[in-house]
Amino acid sequence: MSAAARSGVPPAAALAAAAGGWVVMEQDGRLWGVSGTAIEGLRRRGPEAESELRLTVSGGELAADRVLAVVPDLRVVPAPATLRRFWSEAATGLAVYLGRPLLVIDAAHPPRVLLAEDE
Amino acid sequence: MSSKAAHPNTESAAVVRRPHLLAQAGEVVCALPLSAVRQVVKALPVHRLPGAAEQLSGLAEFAGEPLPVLDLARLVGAAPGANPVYPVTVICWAGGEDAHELVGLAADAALEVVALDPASVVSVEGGLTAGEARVGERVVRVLDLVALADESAGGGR
Repeated sequence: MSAAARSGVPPAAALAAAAGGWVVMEQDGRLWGVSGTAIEGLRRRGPEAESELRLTVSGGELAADRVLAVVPDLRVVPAPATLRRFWSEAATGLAVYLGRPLLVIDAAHPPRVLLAEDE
Repeated sequence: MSSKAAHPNTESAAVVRRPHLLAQAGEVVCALPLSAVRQVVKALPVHRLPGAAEQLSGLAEFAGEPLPVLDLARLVGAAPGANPVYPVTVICWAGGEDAHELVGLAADAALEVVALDPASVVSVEGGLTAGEARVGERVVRVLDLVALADESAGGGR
């Protein structure tokens, strides 16, 4: 296993391969998806043992506990009206990854709960 | 006897009773149009969404698809009860015929199927209800599944 894989940071090649694909990340036990083409930068913050990831997108810097996968295909369904009604943040859609639901964010308008608060 | 005579146990032809599923939600019983109910399952694991309105319990996976799960008691403006664990999820269709979507409703129990006369539903304020109706000795709240998917109405926060 590569150092990058051990640290939870996907190798740059994997991110590059995500062009047109999706990055699946986890934060506070929840899954989130973002288009691979929307990722402008990726870095680790803090000591390795307890560090978080920072993913830069057009709407800001996202905090993530880890990146679970970079997948070429993700069956994204449009955000249902009931979700839009009862959740005020922008969402591109919903999907399922390994049996768990995930919310695909709009990189230009990421949910506040995902925005990194440091710096 | 005329063949047009009504059976003594039936109502006039003008009354069209529609089957509804009764579901316990906190301290009230809700009625859901049976035509909109797809399945009742053991409570689906729900992943909460931070910042969501209280009516939205979170997201779940059902049959390989993502599914918003809503708190039925909150939807109808009922107290959730002392220990709302919601052991069942009612999978049903929300929205109108041209734009409907599957949702899960977290509830305490699916009780029975009854026939409701839509004309007997009396409008009430509060919650996403079409109104209340009497079923035997109890009053049930009829969930408005069409209005549920009306995002323009806002989340009621």
